[in-house]
Amino acid sequence: MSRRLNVPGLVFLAALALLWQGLAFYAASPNFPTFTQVIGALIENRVALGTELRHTLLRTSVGFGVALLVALPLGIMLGRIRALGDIIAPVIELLRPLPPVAVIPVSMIFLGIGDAAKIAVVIYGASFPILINSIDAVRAQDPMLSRVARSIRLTRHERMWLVDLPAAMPRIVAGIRISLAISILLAVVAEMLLSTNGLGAFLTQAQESFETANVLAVLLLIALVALTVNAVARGIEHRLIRWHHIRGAT
Amino acid sequence: MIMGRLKSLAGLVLFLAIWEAIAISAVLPSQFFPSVPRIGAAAVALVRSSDFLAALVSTWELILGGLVIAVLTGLALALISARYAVVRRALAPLVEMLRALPPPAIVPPAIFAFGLGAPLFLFIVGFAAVWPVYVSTSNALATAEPVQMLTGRSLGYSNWEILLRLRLPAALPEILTAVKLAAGIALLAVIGSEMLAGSSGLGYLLYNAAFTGRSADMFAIMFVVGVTGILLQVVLLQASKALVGWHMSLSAMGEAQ
Repeated sequence: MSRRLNVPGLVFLAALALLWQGLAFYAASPNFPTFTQVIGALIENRVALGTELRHTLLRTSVGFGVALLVALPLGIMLGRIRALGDIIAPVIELLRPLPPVAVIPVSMIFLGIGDAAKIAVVIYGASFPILINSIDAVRAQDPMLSRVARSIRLTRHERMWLVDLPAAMPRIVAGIRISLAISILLAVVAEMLLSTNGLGAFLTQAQESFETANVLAVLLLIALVALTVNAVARGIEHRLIRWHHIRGAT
Repeated sequence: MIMGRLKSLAGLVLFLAIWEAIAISAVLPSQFFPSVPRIGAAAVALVRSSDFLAALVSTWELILGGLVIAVLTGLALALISARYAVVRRALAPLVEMLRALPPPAIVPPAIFAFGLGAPLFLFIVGFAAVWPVYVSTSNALATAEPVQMLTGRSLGYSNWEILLRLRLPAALPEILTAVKLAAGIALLAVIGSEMLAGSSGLGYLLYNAAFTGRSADMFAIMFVVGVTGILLQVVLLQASKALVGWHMSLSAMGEAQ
């Protein structure tokens, strides 16, 4: 289904690009570049953008990686040890409504404007979806599953690895995918506010020097990167929990 | 229930105690990491200050205004795409691309189009929050009960009547869940864009406090932002109880069985 070419979608995109080209050509304003000028800016700045992209992706992946390594075991632990989870849960609930961009100032005060400050923001924001989803996933276990596991006399250890974790997987993986999207968002926004380098810094600098074509070019690049990361994450998700989707389909 | 409340309270007390312990032990420099009483004092001073009320009002106006724009636009688009499948297919790649953008990244190009006034922020909030509404609503509308549709047909409903009188009410629970999600995104978009381009509002105050090194003020404003997030969800929960209470009590009955 998704592999089939979406003809109306592509036609619509092409029509929009054409409309944009026509309007911008007609307006002839420096603040309204044509579509081809934006693509031109993307090609012209490919070397600089490549460097900035590497910075952004490095911060995204380091932050996301640390969040995964910390939040996943922590979430599983808090889910399994109910009393501990009950005490920590209100703290998580208290911090959750705070939008993660609001911790950028805190990070700036403690860590300055370097890599550490931006990565810390990504770690903070990326941890929540993983933490919350893994706690919920481990807790919301089907009682029938654990009864079956007990009646076929699996040990506690076997129950955890063969039954509990696989059952919790779909929800945990969904949390990880959300967290990956948030990682990119936070890396870019942290770069916009604590400008040194990266795609976000390129974006604000282009805006401050009124290079509209460059602004739109880097925006296009950010969208493409985010889409690619999301597509890869979805691919991995499908492989990891194929059994889940197959069961859901029948 | 009481046990749960006690545990929640224990968690909060624990959080404040750890915070206070870090502050007293001076592991982190105290000018950056103020004690709980200092943050409390800063919060009281903040609430009494003249620009706080204006900032609070302007941030809430942007969140609610942007959310209304997003919900109306998202619903309208979703209804059209539910009625004409080709519209849904045509919009799909564009929607995927636009919703992948971090909302604050829209600020620089939007400044060229809107300048630095309220329309800029409303646009950004609306833009950020419209996609979850559109995507969830059109998914919910697409999975309508065939029996309901056939019943509607046999009653002589037109396609639009089936859409508005049967499919839309059936999709209401999913739509409200999407609105709650959109509200969280709207809050993020407002705070993020006020930090980037604002001259008032909570996001601006927050960034300004951090930039001038007033850490107690900064934590006090963060607290207010957090409370704003909680209030927003409470308001929407009450609204959705009023709108789809029938659905909630039905699903509660299903769970009880």
